[in-house]
Amino acid sequence: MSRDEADTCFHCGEPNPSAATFQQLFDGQMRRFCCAGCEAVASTILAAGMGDFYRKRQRPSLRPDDLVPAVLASLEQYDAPALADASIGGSTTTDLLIDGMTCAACAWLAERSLRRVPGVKSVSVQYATGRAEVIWRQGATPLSTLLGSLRKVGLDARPADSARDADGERRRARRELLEWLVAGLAMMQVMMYSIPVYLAPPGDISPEFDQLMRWASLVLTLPVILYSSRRFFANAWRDLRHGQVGMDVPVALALALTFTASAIATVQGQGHIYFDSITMFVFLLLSARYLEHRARRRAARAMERLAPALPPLVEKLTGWPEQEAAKRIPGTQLLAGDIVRIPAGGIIPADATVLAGNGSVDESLLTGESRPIPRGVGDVLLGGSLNLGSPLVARVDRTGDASTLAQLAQLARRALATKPPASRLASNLAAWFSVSVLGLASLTLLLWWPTSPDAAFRHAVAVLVVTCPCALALALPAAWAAASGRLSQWGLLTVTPHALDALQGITDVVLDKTGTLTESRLTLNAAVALGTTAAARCTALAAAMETGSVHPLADALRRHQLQQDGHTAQSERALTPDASATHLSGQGIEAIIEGQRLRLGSRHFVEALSGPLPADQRQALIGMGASPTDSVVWLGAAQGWLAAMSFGMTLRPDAVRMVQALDHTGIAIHLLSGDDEAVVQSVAAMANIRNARGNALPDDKRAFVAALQSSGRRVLMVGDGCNDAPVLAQADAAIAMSLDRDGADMARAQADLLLVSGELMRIPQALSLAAAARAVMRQNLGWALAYNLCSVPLAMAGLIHPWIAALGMSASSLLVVANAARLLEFTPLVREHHATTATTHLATDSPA
Amino acid sequence: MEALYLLIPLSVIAVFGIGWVLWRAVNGGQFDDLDAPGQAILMDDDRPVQPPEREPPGI
Repeated sequence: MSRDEADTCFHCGEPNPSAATFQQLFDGQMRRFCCAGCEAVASTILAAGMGDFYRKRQRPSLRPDDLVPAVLASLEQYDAPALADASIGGSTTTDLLIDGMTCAACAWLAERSLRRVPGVKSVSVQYATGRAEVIWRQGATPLSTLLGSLRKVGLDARPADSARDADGERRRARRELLEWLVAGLAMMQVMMYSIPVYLAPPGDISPEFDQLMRWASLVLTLPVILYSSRRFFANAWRDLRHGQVGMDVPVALALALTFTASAIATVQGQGHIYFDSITMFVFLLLSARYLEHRARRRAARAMERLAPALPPLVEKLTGWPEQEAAKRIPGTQLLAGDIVRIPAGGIIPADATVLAGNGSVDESLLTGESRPIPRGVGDVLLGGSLNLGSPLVARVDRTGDASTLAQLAQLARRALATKPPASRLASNLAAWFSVSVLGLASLTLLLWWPTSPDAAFRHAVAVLVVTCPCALALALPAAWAAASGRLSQWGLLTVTPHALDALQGITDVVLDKTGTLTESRLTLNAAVALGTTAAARCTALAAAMETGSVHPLADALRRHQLQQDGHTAQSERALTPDASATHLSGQGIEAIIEGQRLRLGSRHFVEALSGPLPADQRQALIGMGASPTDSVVWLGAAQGWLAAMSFGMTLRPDAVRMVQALDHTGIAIHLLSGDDEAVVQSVAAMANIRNARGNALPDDKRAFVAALQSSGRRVLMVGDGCNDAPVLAQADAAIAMSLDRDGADMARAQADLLLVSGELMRIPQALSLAAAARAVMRQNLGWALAYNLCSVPLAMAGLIHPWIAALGMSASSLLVVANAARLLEFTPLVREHHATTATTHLATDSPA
Repeated sequence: MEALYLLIPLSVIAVFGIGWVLWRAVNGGQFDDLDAPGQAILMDDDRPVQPPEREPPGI
């Protein structure tokens, strides 16, 4: 082991405080830990004989929450009967969502830990989706023990809300797979019987063997018709009952008629059979459908992982203010008038009014305002926002449908209802196609009937077979499947079935907030010492004061401190506040470190402790906070001012390149944000976006997009957060970003695509992929139409031999699939321009 | 050539046999997760259990 590792926590990889004495023996060496939490987790893992985890893991683990018994006790709330699933046959299947898995070794650790719990029968952990399926006896072990066993090894788990749904989802996936496999198997074997007939010279195969093979083909095609393709029949029937004609109608028609004709030919022992064409056609259709659905299921699972908008459990204070005792109840049981306590870092469960406490909240999910907003007694809290400061006691005002969150959802539903319909190209074609095929077949029957009823029937069947809807039916799904496969390789998951259609012909891209362009975290840009204390020491002091805080600035300070630790003296790190720090809402923090009373926060707040800022220091501060995106925070002691620190936003590395790529293709870019106007303009200037607007409310954004649409533009909306749900629904196409875990699943529910990789360059690339997919669909449709135009007259004239019809049917399907497969390798040509030289930093990185 | 009277029906039965095996495999969950089992094999504890946990110096 290298020497560096001795200085960092063996479990989480963060630096160890020099005073820390947490250690464990592992592999013959004393390993040191940064905190009691990490030590406890490691000792649980080692004591359980799972030390292999540390040998095999590829990345350090996450630092666990405190292992105080209260946290474990809180898990017992999950044992409440209201939250338990119905058990079947004594054992229950529960899906758990596990957070904190950083590599495959964590999945192994989770599986081993769950297996050790008595009463657990089987466990399967999927690292990719972060899910665990546990089969266990609920009577023997409470759910809290399962969650607790994971918590003890540093993994945070909660039951998936939609366990039953997931079960149905799995059954559907299995059924689709099986339908596809059956069709494939039958296709291969039927082809084995058909090839000799095609290849052998006439008369080489004696009639009785030929007849035997026809019967064998019939027997093998039966499951394909009755099992694999029943969905086409069901959908076609549903369409017809509703008076519509979708693509399934001609497919079902062709399958039914071709199969019937072939079956009659088999029984009569004369006429051509088309079993090989039927099985191959069904197999290809199902392949496209299976691939497309698999991509969509992956997207759905990725969305489910995102944190819920509201907390599952809330602390209800029954006897407040006389008693402090809290009772944990499920968030859904909360009523207006209830008094709740919201812990620091907790999500606010409903719209409420503060009764006690002072803190600040992050409402960025609801309003788009990215800065913390101070909230004190009497202020209104919005359900779904995040409490950043100290704990708050609040009275619930509105829950359920009346809450702000629910109203946003309603707004989104309304917008969705007025959304311009997606292109109906495929279904229009299908209707036209079915009608004309049926008409032509009837015409053939009528024209030939006087000559010979037998020939009339034969030629009519040939018309039906040769006008195979295969190319038509496959043209679009094959292209969709290939394109969504390519998109998911890029980290763009397609959520709605027609996401690619939606991306067609986009003329405007609207970015919904500055956070889409900037890193989600603040960075410490500069620290200027105002007194005799060195700037590095000041930032260390500030970081120590913010210990345990979830405020964005605290996070920035901590990360800065981690970077500094490489070249800082040991003594700088051992700083801890003597007493717990006091948060003052909207002003700052006060703490005592090494006997020194310190204040960190707004200038006014520090002035109250340190006196007025000395005039000679003002010179050093010129340029600080000059950009509207910067926030300046001051640090002072009773003896005098210590430092000023400026925090700023950084543009995401590929933001400028994305803007250039879009500009290049002639797509207009708009930035429409709920943030402060000055901040929005400043970010827009950095990213070279000309059209920018700030202070936009959710309804403003929706109106803006609607106005663009009414002037004939097609709008792609890129956003995240609950407040974006209405506008995402209004836009012609929507991409939701999942940059962090603080997600709003509601916004994602309105999106057509989900960008999980966080690479903005994928957006222009997806647009050009959509254009390429459109081209492939056009080629496929063009081929299908040309083929039919040539073959139908010949078939009507009785000039097409049945086996040529069968071959033509199969060959056109294959051609269409092969053409679509080109999309799997699609690489967009995005011109780089002078993108590499563009600077991505908003503010200069002056060293501290 | 009379063997074909046996072989063709046999091939049909074989296909149904394979279909049944696939049905068992799919409903047994063997196709539910195509990624994790491949990684799980790397996580097998294949170190000898008995010798005391000791690594040569310098690692």
